Amino acid sequence: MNLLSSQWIPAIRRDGSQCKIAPWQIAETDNPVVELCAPRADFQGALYQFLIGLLQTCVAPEDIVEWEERYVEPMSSRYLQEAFGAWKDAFALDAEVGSPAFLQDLTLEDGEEKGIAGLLIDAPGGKTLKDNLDFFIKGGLVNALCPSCTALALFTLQTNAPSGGVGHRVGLRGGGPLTTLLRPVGDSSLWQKLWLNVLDQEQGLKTSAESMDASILPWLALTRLSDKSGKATLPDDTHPLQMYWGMPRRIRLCPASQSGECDLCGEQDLPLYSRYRTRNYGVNYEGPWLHPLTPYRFDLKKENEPLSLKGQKGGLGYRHWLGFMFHDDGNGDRASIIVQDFFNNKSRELDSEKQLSLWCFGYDMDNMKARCWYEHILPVFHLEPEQIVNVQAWIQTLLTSAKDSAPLLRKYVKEGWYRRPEDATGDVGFIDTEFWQATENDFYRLLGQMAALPVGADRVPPEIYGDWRSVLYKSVLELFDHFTLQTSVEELDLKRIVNARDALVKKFNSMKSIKHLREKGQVAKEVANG
Amino acid sequence: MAETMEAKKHFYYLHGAAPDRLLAWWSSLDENRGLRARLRRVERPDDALLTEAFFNFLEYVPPRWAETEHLYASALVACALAQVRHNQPGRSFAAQLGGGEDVAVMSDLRFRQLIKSRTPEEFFRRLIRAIRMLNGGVNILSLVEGILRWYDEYQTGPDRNPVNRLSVLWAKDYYLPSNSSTTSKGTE
Ligand SMILES: [Zn+2]
Repeated sequence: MNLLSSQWIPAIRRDGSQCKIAPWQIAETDNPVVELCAPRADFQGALYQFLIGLLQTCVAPEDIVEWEERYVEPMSSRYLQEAFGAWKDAFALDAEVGSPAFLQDLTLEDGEEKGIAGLLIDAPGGKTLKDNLDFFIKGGLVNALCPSCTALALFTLQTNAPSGGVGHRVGLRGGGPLTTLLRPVGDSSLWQKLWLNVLDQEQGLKTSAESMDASILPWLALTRLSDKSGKATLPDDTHPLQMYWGMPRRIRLCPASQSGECDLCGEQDLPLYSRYRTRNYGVNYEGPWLHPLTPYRFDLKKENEPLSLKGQKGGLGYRHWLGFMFHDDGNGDRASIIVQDFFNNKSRELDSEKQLSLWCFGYDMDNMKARCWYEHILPVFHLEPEQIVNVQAWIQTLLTSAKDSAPLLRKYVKEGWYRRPEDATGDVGFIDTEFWQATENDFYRLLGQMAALPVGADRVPPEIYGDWRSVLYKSVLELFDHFTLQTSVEELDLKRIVNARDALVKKFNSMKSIKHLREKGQVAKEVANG
Repeated sequence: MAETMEAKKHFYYLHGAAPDRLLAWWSSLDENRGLRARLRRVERPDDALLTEAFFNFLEYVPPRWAETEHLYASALVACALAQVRHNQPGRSFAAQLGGGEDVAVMSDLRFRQLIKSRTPEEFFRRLIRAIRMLNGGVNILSLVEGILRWYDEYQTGPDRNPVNRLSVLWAKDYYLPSNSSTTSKGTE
């Protein structure tokens, strides 16, 4: 199979029919493809990134004008077929050792031989199976994969690689990075879903004319080893486009043997891959990489390199909105380059009536083990550059008070539950999760009001602050009651609970960020009464 | 303001009874010592159902109070009120039991028994003891409201929102100091 000419990408066309397409078919306009349909959630995210990487590498627009033209009207599928065709030799799924094979070590001949399931990030080891944490693979093991699933597993692993033991390197963005992709709300073609996430060449990702070489696609040459005599790979050592094609793991597929049914997607009568070989000390990405599709946390003291954001316990929610859209001065989170570019350049080229959202996804990794896969959709608001500065500051105020409230709620629920809360060690993160979910709709409601203010407005109506304060107060108390008072009165220590509740209210009202909200909200009343 | 958000002025539902009619009946017992004595002697609210005093009570409350499903609750109220010597509005009934910043009038253990009562008879016995502990000085309307709510929960199960449960409402008033922002200010 060749990834640029074979029809291997699972997709859905406008009329709802499922099909397998070659990459260039994303530009077809007759009954166009509207969505991808990979057999697993992490594959879906990877497949998007594969196609975005391909567009970025092979046909990136010269400037914002060309970007916009292509957004409205895709390049012809014939043109795309030719453009991708030029890179075809690098995209064979398997080949004789010594010839390039997609995302595989050029010359790897010996090495540890493993079952194909080892490519899957959640592949349950002994312990995972025992803990019943194998949530991606439901019942049963994966022994054989079709070429399509194999390619996706390979790309998913190289993109997200967690640490895999001594010398088994992590991905270019670290293990299990978050990815944020812009998406139109409502009907749109796959082309638009992808093109929104392509940068024009003025943003620093110019493809050199001689194109295909190992500085972009590292598997075209001998692997830059990172063993004792090897070295780390820094941004200056390669072409920036390698960010889309990172290859931290040395892998070579064993040729497909029998044919039959794929254990992941269930397709029949396809050649099946069941084993691969691997060695450690592959490319070791270090240094200040900034992958265009990932938000990073910048050191507020500017002493350390930025770290890619990862999935984390508690999942994703509106508390990430500021950091994923612009920057959150509370923790140093900064939007991905693709999102920055959207607000700097693309936003004003697009019809502001067409709503967009930000699709955020990634694993929550516990070292080598995937604990969970998170996905979340954040709303995107069309904002003028002069609005952004203000909205940013206003949102920071709302967010700070919410971020103060969540741990307070958790603390006092524990006080309501336990005689000695400081000794209680159970995981109570779900309390925070509930809090963030309970306040989410109101956050976006107020954010919508702020975004709708006239461009020149440098103040928000003070009611917004009072409103948010009430939302937080109400949610904190309701959740406290929910968590502490659910059982029957026989089982409750009401003395402890009502005292904790009382202390919660007092603490809430005396928090700096809440007082701040109240002061800002107060102005409203004075003016109104004035 | 935060402090007033939850502690809004208390409103008594009283199953439709007019507060001044309830108080009027209670005052009338002063002139009808015999009726009062009869009600104070009952061991269980059932014992009151056929007394003249109880028929007299029903004339002061809405018809609903005389319906079969409500009769027992009505008897609970009448018998409890017969134990009250002075009406002390202000703090709620449970707050009166708690004693505010001072030592509680009713011990924590007894209070927990009271709110965990499982049968009307149990509740009645413990309630009467609570009123006696207060030397008969009770916030009458708050007491009646509590009795009615207890009986509602007994019949239909506790409120889905736990904060509206009598046990929680009373616990807040009993355990927390009276100036706390989360207690229900017992006002009329
Ligand atoms: Zn498959």
